[in-house]
Amino acid sequence: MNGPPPRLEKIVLALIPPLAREAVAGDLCETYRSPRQYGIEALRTVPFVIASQMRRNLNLPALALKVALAWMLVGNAALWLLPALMLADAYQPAARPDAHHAIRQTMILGLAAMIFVQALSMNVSVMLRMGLSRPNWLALYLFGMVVPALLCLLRTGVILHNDRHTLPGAMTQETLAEIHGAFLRRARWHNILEGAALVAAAAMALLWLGAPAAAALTTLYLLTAIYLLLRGTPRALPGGDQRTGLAHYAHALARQRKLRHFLWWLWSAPLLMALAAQLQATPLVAAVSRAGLILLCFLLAVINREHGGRVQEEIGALTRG
Amino acid sequence: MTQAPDYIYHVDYMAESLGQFEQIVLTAVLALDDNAYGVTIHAKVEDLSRPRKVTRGAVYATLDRMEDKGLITSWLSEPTKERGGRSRRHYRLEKSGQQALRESARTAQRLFDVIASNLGLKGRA
Repeated sequence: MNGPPPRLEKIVLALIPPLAREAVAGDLCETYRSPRQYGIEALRTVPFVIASQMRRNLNLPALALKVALAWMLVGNAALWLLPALMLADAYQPAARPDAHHAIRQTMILGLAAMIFVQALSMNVSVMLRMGLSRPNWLALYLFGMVVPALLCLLRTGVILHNDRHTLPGAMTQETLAEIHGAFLRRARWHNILEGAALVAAAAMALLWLGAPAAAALTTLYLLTAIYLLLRGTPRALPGGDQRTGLAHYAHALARQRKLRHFLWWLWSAPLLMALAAQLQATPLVAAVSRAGLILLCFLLAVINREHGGRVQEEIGALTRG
Repeated sequence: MTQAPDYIYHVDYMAESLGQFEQIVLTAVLALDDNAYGVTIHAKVEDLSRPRKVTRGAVYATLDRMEDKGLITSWLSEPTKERGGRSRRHYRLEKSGQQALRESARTAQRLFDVIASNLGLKGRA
């Protein structure tokens, strides 16, 4: 039987969110009759799939935190970020990027940053308008040289860290109970320790930071600590056969991933806020703060990308076959 | 003081209440048994909701929602040639899904009985 034209199929594949791609694209291919029917069917199906993936992967606390931080930086324009972030969540990848691809991307990003800094330093009129003296832009230039290497080091570290985890193979009911038990213990301890650390951080924020940032951070840290301690730990395996157990485990993994995603952003919030506050300082301090903001956001993004990809790979392995 | 009925305190034991479309999709998964995946579920849902047309996307969205509620579980089969080397996502009704469907059937039966006795319909729901 004929399949859809490769070019049309490629477009449809790109539009279907990765986590639903295999099943939805397969169903569309199975019912293929003509390019027109295939295109119409795809147009009728894909928007629902995107909306469903947006809802499934919605991480409301993380989303609210990111928009709030962006609002501190760019004001009301941050609201435009909301649909973009939700769409990015819907298109969450089903696996980690391969190491070569990740490093190549990082090098391109770093080189682009370096070229930008170099171009800026060459444009003396711009530099003078910004009030930068010669030694300052030399420092900036040197910083630009270091950026690609720094980004690559960060990326490599995250890749190596995630490569230490192995995916589960074929599982019997006993091995599933064993693996899930270990996951449960790990998650419980992780949540208890992180909850305690959040309480300590809330106390420190109250002591060291000025209002209203302290009040906001303390409240957020305390609420998160209470949630982690009371509701953070996944439930034990329910009764039923292995299929039910695997589905429960996959669901718990996805929930913990969402929680960790939010927590990484939450831990970084004070630093991001401090860097954002420096953007109004002298041009050099502002430039360094901007670079620091970019580096920190890059680090958070790659940690989430790698960790999220690894969890999705694990869920994929659990729900296959 | 009047004592509140017992069931008010036992919300946990109540089955998930389902919308009409969810009932249809769950019934399709139940009827198809081992052969429940996107294409067959959509065909069965169209058959059950005649003469209304149903888009496959709406079926996927409902399946996702019910999976998140724990009413069904899914898994990927081996890839097949007719699907361009891709797998099928199979669905299965869980115990909570069966319970919710039973509850919906009981409600539908009660409604049918009332309508039948008032409007003089024949047959069973």
